[in-house]
Amino acid sequence: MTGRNEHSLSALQWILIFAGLILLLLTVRFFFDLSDGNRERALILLDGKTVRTLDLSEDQTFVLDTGYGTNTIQVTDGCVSVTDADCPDRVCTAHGPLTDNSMPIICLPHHLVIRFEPGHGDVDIIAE
Amino acid sequence: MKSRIAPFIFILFLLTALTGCAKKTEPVRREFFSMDTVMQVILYPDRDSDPAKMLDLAEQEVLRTDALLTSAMGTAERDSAAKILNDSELSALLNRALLISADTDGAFDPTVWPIVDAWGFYSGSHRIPKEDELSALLQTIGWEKARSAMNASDPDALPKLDLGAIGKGYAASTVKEKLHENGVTSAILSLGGNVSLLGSRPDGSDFTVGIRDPEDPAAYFATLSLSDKAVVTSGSYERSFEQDGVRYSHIIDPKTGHPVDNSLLSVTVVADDDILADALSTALFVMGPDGAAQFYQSGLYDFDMILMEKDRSVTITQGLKNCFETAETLKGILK
Repeated sequence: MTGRNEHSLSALQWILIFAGLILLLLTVRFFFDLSDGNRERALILLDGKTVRTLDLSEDQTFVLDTGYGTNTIQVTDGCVSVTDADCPDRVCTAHGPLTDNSMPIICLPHHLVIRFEPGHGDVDIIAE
Repeated sequence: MKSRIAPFIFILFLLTALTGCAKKTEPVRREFFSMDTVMQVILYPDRDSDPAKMLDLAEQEVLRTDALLTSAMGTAERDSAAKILNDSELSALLNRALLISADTDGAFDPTVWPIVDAWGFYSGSHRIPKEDELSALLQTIGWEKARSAMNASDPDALPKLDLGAIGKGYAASTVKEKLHENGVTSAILSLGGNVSLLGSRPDGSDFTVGIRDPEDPAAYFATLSLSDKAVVTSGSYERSFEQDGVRYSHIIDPKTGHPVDNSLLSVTVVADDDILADALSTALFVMGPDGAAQFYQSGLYDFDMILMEKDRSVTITQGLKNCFETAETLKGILK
């Protein structure tokens, strides 16, 4: 009887094991949260419909004919941007690389939206 | 034996709680074009609701509102004017707009349509009208004329109208109402950059709203942590044009007929009421920083605001002090 007690874990040891386990699981969840939202793929939407999915690990440049005009889309070093467009305001080219889903690249005259696959950013939405 | 199994059951419980069952609700989203701008609807569906159906509902309501307001846009024909006066929804909206016009001493004026048109902001063919042209147009506008026409039920006397300045606010209010009626408790609308929050995140925490940097379209200069609020920003950067080195804002001062040119870069209004937030963001931009501060301190309406000026200094009102963050210079907190 005495021998079995010597090999059993004390209450304090159990608490320490649980605390360590909780810490480990929280750490795992934290890194899952950080990677929440797929920053490896971006969607190109025309009139709200996805017309192309971009793999951001592959550098590429192409001209997209939106039906309202053209936009030159560039993927380089994991970032997507519109580098040229024949729209009148060229707000899409001024946007620079896509960094956050709260601020998708929008070309209003060409009804074009470029954003990451659904996920979370630093903020939920931008008032502008 | 029992005491040996208990810890393992506890560990199993922890694993379940911390991984599988605690998974966050993922939002569903849709972008579409309406009112000459891009609309975003982001919903956090609950287990019972059909997310696609709710997105359809939101989109259909925005499109319906757009069609309704388009029928009232710039119209001078007697039939269309009569429609505005006879349509209960349009006349209620116009009534609301005119009340805000009166309360802001005409800084917000839905009759400014002919002057916005003369500057080419509707067509996109921008031009600088001559002074005598503007003087003549100023004689034709005025919210008081619309008020008189409404009171007399006289469509012939109704000036041309632009309800666009509250159109997105109105659409946001009706979409939120529809979603709420259908059991949606957590959603974000961005109607052309006008943000409207239905409830909070599913975990009960506030949404984080970024406020666009007026000088950088890909950045935000501040964040707000909010639930159940409308957040609307007006800025000189929107739909402006440049000629001979001068930049002209699309926001017209109804008293001068000229684009607003004061020290403000942007005004953000935070309010419970979408229509009020939309109208006030325009009115406060026209008033300028001093006028906006006085209007806030008059206590006429319940709202908060963020003013960003050309020197990038930021002024906020006291209701935001616990939910506002920025790296810019905070000039003051208005009480």
